Amino acid sequence: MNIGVLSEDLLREILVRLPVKSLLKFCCVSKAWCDLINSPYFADMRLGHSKNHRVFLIMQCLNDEKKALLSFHSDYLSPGRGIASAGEVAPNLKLPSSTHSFSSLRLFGSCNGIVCLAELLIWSNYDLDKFWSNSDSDKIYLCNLATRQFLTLPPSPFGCPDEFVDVQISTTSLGFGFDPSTQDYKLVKFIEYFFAETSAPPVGGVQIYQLRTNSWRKLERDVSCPSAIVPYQSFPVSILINGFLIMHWCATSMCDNLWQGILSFNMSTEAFQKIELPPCDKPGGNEFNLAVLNDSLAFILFGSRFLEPPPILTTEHSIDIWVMMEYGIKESWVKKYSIHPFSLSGCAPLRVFAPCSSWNNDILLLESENGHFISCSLKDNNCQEICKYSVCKYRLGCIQSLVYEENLVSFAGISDGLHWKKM
Amino acid sequence: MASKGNLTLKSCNGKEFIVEEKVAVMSTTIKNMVDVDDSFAQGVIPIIGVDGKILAKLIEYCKEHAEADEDEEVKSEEYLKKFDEKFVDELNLNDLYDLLKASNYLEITKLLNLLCQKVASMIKGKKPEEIRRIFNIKNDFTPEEEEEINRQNPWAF
Repeated sequence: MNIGVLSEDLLREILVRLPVKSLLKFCCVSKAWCDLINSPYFADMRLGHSKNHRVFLIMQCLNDEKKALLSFHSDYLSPGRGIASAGEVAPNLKLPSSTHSFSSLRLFGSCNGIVCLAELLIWSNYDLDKFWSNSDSDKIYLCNLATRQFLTLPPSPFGCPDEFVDVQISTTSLGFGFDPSTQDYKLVKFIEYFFAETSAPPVGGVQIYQLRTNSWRKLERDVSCPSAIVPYQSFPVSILINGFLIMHWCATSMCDNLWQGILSFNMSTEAFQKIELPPCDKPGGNEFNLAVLNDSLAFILFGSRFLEPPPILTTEHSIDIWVMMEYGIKESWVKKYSIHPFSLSGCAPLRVFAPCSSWNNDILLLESENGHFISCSLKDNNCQEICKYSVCKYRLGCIQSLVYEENLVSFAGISDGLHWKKM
Repeated sequence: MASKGNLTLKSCNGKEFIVEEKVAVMSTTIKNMVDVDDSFAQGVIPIIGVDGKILAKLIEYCKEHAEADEDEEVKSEEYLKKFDEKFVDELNLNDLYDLLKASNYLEITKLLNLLCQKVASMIKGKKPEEIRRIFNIKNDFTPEEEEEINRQNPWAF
């Protein structure tokens, strides 16, 4: 077959619709194709198409090895097919080497095809020597998994504030996103200082990294986010509100009657806000998580995963999904879905370990306790197994997933001079 | 815009088509011609470089979409999706190529997007040498240069 010669404009219109993998492969078609694909103009143009290039990424930790990353394509060229039939794009990626024997690399979100991965100094490291050391040994990476480039962030230069004596430092969470007002990528990092000798509550700090300057700065906390508020480790969900990218974490306060709720952070104005939880039974034996459904903030409440032995969930147990219909309005929380993902044919009843993320607004992705990765349709409660992992027995929660938009972006213009490495 | 009646489109090989204005102005190029110069609305609009067969195809597509824009009840989104799928599936490569160029020239954005998507899904899994054959491209890399590019991104192959 032969399609003949196309103008550069038309060719660009076609190529912009291809997955990154195909584009990298087609660089060797000819010099003209290579130049076209590698031009910043093409990368920008493709960014505009990135909504059509959504990729579903799963990260799994392996017991005694370095972690593996698996990712699955949405089959965007013929939409409508189930996620279960989506093909792998980047199986078994080798990540930057881990510094811990019991690896603790985790996903902290993505933006424009760049995934933020980090090893933070947190309790789950089970590595007290490291835990009690300085937070500067956080390892934070920005990775473009499609082009397999990654950047290691410089360590934060800020040590412990002088007025604090005898404290330990821990990084509690991160958020990564693009600030449209400065056209720059930002990373926000929450730090907690523990006082070893006194029973005083921990004090929190916030630091911001900006890609353009490749440097860190401190952000003062104010009443909207008192220092006692601690966001959870799980990665934040981001929503575009009135042109602002806003990140959300589940959070708790050490003061304020142990307030539990959602902490938001505006990536442009750098303002915090507290959002109240829906009027559901407060997590006693329950866990919760955030997600985005139809561009709205969603709150997912599910059975406890830490009871020992874990409760066997039956059809009476459900996962409740609340959606905030009007952003920021506490009264607008609506319990939209109640799902029972426990009847996967051919399998023993599944205990859900954790909901991971949403897909196409009507599918919830779940990790089950025995290592199944499941998609669950919110419309008809139809559950499908996507894959089964050999989950390490004592390390539940070793599967993470996120949905991201695959891209060619190498931050041209923003990160000139930064040293991107190949995985 | 209210329909003022019919327009006559003439292909490069002399075939004339009388179409409703709302159908013809799915093409931004034709819309601009009619808006700027009223005489086009009365007379015949020459469609340069597009033959009768391709023009008929373009009109078939625009007719369905113009009608859908007007009445969503009769031609639902679902219906249009099916129509689009069938439309591109029935094209042979030559027609696909001609339609691509014609819809680009006539600025029929929706159709252009549909055709580009079709070509993209046709080529995404192909090997570079197959791509060269399909697009009539000469490989101007030396074997060393080609190997260097392949070495940079070995997982893509």
